[in-house]
Amino acid sequence: MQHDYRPAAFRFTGNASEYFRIWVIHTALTLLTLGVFSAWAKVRTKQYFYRNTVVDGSSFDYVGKPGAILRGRVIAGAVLVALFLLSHYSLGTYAGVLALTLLATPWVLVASIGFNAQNTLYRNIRFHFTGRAKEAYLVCAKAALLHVLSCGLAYPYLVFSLTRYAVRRYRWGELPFEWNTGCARYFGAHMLASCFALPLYLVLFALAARARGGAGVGGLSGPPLAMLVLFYAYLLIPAAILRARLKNLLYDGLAVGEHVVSANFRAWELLKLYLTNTLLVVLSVGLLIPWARVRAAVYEASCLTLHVRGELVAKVAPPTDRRALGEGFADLGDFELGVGT
Amino acid sequence: MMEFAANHYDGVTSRAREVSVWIDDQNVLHLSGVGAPLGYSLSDVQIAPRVGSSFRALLLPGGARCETYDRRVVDEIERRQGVSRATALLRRLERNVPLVCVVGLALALSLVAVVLAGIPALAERAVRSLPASVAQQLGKSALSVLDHTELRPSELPIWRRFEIQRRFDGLARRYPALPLALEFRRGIGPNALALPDGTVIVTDELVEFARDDGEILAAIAHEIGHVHHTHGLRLAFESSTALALASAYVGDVAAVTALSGVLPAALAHARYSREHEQEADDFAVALLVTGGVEPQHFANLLRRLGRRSLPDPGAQFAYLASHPPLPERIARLEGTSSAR
Repeated sequence: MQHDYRPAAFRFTGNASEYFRIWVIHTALTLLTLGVFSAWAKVRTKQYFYRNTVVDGSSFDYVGKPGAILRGRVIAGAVLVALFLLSHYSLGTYAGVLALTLLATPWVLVASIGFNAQNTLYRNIRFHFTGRAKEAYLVCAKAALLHVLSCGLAYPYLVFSLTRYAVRRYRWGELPFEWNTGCARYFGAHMLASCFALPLYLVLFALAARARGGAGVGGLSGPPLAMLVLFYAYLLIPAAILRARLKNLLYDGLAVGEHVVSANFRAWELLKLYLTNTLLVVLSVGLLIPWARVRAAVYEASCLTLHVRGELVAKVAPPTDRRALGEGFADLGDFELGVGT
Repeated sequence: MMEFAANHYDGVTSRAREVSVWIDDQNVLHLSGVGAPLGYSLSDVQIAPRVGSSFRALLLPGGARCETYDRRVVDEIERRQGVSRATALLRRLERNVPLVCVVGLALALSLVAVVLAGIPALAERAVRSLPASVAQQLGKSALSVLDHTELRPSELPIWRRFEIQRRFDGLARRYPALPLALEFRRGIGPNALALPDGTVIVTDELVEFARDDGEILAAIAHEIGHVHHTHGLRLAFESSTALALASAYVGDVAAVTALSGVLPAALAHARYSREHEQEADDFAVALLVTGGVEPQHFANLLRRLGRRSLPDPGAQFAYLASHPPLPERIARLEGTSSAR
């Protein structure tokens, strides 16, 4: 029933000069207020990017409250400082803190995904995350156990199972997200990236061993240019390949109710994007950061299409309250999941 | 009376209805197109704060929402409602292009100032406040790591080591506060290293390479300079601070956190390292002069080391180099030594 679907491309309509003005004022105010304004900056930045992300003629919106995020950040910061101090107290407290941090991770994950989902809006219908901490503990425990037992070889399974858990518990209003990507493709993506990473690493290692003796008095030198190029190739190429694959695996085939998302991220395009963004940001002493972010958003949107079946309609789901604590932790730990935008 | 078109979402389903909205002189907002005409008092209508030039949203009582790109009218509603002072201020700031340009430039300049001056100053204070045991511990573990990886025991005859040790002691005596100690190793070519705990490592290859003991002493003096200025700990502190700053400031720009912070941090690291080398060179010249060693030996050593190393020094990127270019160092050394 292919003909039932009507493609609706994602578009990003923001522009760099406009976002530049917002970013400059945000950064300056965040510095002047010693970070307090960062909660407001976060909300307004999200609003700028969400509101400029258009699909099927409508935009997303973000309705998180800065006060809630600030509260979450203060609590999260206080907890982290307390943990840090405790961990330096004695070996016993250090082990305790470590265990506590590990135990808290799934809960923080759930709280933070939930907070983000709940505050994302499309056509006045909020997203939801129906995951419960208990499930998250089971998923994390299983994946972590396999990860450790396999000496890290099962890492793709960890990524896969967390993604599956997060996506399948996502909803837009009452429309559930469905996702049937197989675990094997996660292993494939990581293996492909390693195929590029490994040779680069070996060449780099051999070169580094030959160019020894740079330190100390004689220290002639910096790394030869060829080695630098190789080093950045090693950092960038596998990352771009993995990123493109993982994004395609996440979005391509993702169903929201009867509607289906398709994605075609290209490693080569991502590579060009990363490289030019990084160089220009460095050369401009950070002044081109807004431009780089807008470019990334434009590319990301251009890779996504929603195939609408019939009418794109969702009913509202009964609201639940999420506290912003998770959001604070999410900022510190960078757990955000880009589902829904 | 103003009228504009908007998309109305009732908040129960995502279905959009095209409505026309107008406001009358009594500050009542009228909506037609959703069944029976609706009217809301303007004071019950909330406006989602503006960010940039994206759509504006009117939040109606009961959870419904109207989205429109007609900024003019929404601005007028805001004017009638009165905007909060903070919102108005933000908007004024963001619209003020000259102000934004000045602030942006100030941000970039202060970033440069923090990296070039702020972080080194901070590192110096931080390192001074560290207990001596930290440096001792680090030095000890660094030496053991080196001994297990790249360094082998020295094969120099004992009398030769003794000779150098005696001249080392002569230099070290001038800095009784420094916990200086000399070690001989083999394995990494003509070189000398300083560890945070005051250990100076001289390689057999350097001793064999030197045409004059003055050259060995010059290398040692340079390393004592690193110890004197606590360069090891300072560089560690400076680089990690620069990396943290770069990661926080640049954030996820390139969406590959690994790189976006690494490149600026690597540039900063190389810059700090070059500054330390220059400090150590200056220190070495002063120490050699007071110790009665001709500083010209240092320039000679560097010149000959340069000749035996990489075939084409042009294939290097000066901004990422850990040491200043050799010709520059030699010119500086000969400048300071001839000035005396």
